[in-house]
Amino acid sequence: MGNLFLLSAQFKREFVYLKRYFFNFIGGFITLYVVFLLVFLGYRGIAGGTEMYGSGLGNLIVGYVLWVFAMMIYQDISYNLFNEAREGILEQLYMSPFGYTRVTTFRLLAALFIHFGMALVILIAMMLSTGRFLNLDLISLFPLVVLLLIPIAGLGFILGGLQLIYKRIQSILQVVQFLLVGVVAAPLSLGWTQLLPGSVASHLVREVMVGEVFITNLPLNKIFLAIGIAGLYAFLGLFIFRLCERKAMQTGRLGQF
Amino acid sequence: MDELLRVENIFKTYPKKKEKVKALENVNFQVKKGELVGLLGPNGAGKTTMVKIICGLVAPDSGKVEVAGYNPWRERSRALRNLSAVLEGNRNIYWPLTVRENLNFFAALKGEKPSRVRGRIDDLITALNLEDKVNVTARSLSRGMQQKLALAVALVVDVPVLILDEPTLGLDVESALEIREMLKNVVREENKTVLLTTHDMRLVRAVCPRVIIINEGKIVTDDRVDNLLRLFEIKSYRLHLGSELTPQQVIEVQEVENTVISNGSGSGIFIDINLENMENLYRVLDILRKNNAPIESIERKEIDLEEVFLEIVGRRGLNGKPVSSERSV
Repeated sequence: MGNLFLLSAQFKREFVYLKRYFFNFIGGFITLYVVFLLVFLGYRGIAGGTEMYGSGLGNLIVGYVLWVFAMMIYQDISYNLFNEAREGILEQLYMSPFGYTRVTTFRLLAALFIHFGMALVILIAMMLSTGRFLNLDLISLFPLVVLLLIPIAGLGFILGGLQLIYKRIQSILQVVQFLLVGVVAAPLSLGWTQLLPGSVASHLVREVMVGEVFITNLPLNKIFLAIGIAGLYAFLGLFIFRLCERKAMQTGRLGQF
Repeated sequence: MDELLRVENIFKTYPKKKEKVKALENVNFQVKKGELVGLLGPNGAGKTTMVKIICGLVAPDSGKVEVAGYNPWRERSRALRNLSAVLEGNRNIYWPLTVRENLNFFAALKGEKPSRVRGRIDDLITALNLEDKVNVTARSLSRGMQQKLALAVALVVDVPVLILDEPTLGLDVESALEIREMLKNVVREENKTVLLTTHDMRLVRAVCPRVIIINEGKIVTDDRVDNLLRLFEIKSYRLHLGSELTPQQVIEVQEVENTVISNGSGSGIFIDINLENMENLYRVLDILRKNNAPIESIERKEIDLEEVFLEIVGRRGLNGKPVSSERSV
């Protein structure tokens, strides 16, 4: 039952934060929307009137919304850890009998609902603005989005772990969040790009949303590859995080900022 | 189980460039159920490292710690269910959450259903005079109130062992007194085992029957405060003179053993005389009488815990700086 209380507490905390920082939230939403409009106008200027325009626009919308979603999840782990250390709360969280990994995973689950809502609103706004409506088959999309988010969360844990030891690596964190654009938009034809966290899953999401393919009609090998990549990055993320955690505890730097 | 906190043969070093800095060396102590023990030492002595090892936040190089019979490293979850701590004063709480939201959240963080601890939360709010601030965010509270909230957060779940690292640091007198009373209550009424690190000797004197003094990573004293005061008790007297001494008088008084001259904060000067040898007092009085120096008052000096502490840690101040050789007593 304790797990439920903790999960419920994390949900309440996330919603209280949303309420207290509502204008910040709206500001973030508007910024992301305006950036998309600028990208869209640029794209229309370049590809407008060509045969590729329709499918290219669809891919642009999907890529953008997946990047926003991935970025929020990634930030939720890496930046929260930084903030918790800075605010002095990290050591309290480590003293939870549930362990920090579970505490932060539950927080991530709670945050997912808010991020999902925000990504959905941005998606709808983008579709309305561009007039390009995409296939929102939730049955197909849900498992694929999960397969996208798990490796991104793994990446967040890796960088979060490094932050426990090296502390001031915010510039790297910022660079990585922009590299996520490449991850969600990477062409799989290059081969090695399939090993990037979430690249196969984001390709499959595009197949569903732009190509209007139902999940059962997607290539099985790609689905298994996406599952494998998700498992690999989840394992790597937690493994490296634990190593860094141990190192931080040995050097007494866990709660330092 | 009689001893709820056991620390055995703890060694800890920190890497510093290519060297290793010794933080703790063979530290051993136990704290019994219902006992409140002060862990004292100058800055950098190793107190916080010790506390963090107990809380499972810093890994020792070797040695063993048990919290209510559980090792915080091998039986982490069980050990942490028996322990609460305030480690960074007012920085243990979520600043955007209100007082009640913080208490509810941290109850859940310990696995407790917030509705089950509602009564306890109300009691804590009342005991720490936070009634008017229940729905105020922690960010908007004064430092004293934030620190009281941090203490309440540590007490929100009824655990047997409480670790407090500098709970009154930077507090005004009123808030420090409230925390002092709260500590007395948790030991008296809830029979909690408390380990307290502080530089506030008044707090130690008021709440800790026993202190462990740590210096340069080693325990140098582990005894009852009363015993320490008795051990270091030296009879001494302080003479308050209404006017300055002449240079000749100063030289003569300084020639008397175990005598220290110091300036008073207002007018006049003080002469502290150690009475290990009564002859010292007579000699000083003779010098003063010979020169008709006006004696305003004579009072017996009593050693306090701070002086005992300074004596034990080798006449080094609480901030690690050497204490003036003109220290009285």
